[in-house]
Amino acid sequence: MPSDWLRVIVTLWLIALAVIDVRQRALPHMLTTGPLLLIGGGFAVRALAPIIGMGVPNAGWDDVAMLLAFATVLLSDTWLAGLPALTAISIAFVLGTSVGQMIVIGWLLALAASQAGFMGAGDAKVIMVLLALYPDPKLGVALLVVTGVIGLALMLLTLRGATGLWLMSITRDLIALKFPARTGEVGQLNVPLVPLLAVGAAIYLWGVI
Amino acid sequence: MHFINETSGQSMIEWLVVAVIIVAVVGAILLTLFTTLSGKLRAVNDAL
Repeated sequence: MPSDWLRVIVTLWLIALAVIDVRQRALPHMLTTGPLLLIGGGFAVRALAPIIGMGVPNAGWDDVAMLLAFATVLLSDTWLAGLPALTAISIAFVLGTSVGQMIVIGWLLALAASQAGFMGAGDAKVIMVLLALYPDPKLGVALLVVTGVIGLALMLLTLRGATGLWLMSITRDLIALKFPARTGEVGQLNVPLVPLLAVGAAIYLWGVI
Repeated sequence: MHFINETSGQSMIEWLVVAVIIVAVVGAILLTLFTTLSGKLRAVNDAL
């Protein structure tokens, strides 16, 4: 069970971000980029300190993999980012533990979704910070389920009777091993994601699952 | 540093729902595969 103080702080942080996201559709650097850089700096210190002879308790290959995932974030403007990304995945799965694997995969997926334009960069940073604080598959499941259920409800409201056709076209594309086609202008629905993430994280943090 | 400088809080729910469906389907397939494999391997191990 996560520590109580951290749970309260993370919950308040998410509530503040959700309010800002709904009002402004943008997230301030102070509450997203700041914590992300602090966490990335922490990974760097833990991974590099043993090289200069400083002892860090419980430092290991996970820290090296997470530092490389952070390097991928910093290099994400160029194709060079593929190098630290692949190295991070290899180290996490060959030498690391489930904690490093969860963080590396979560960070790279959130970064890829942001770079592909599915997800705002602010939303992706919130997911990265949450996964770094709580590298637990249950948190990932809670975020995915809440996003999926509420997202599907929003799609139902938007597409109404055509929802069945949309789901059928996704299924057909997936069976054919193709990336699902877009629904066009009808289905494109931009939403502030942080309120959904806040609900998913709250379900995890306050022990419902 | 585009990702670091960007502050957008808007996401395309259509694509995210598709991503969740893909993760759920692929996850269920992998889980079924590993559970079946683990059962078979346990049966082989018990038979030895």
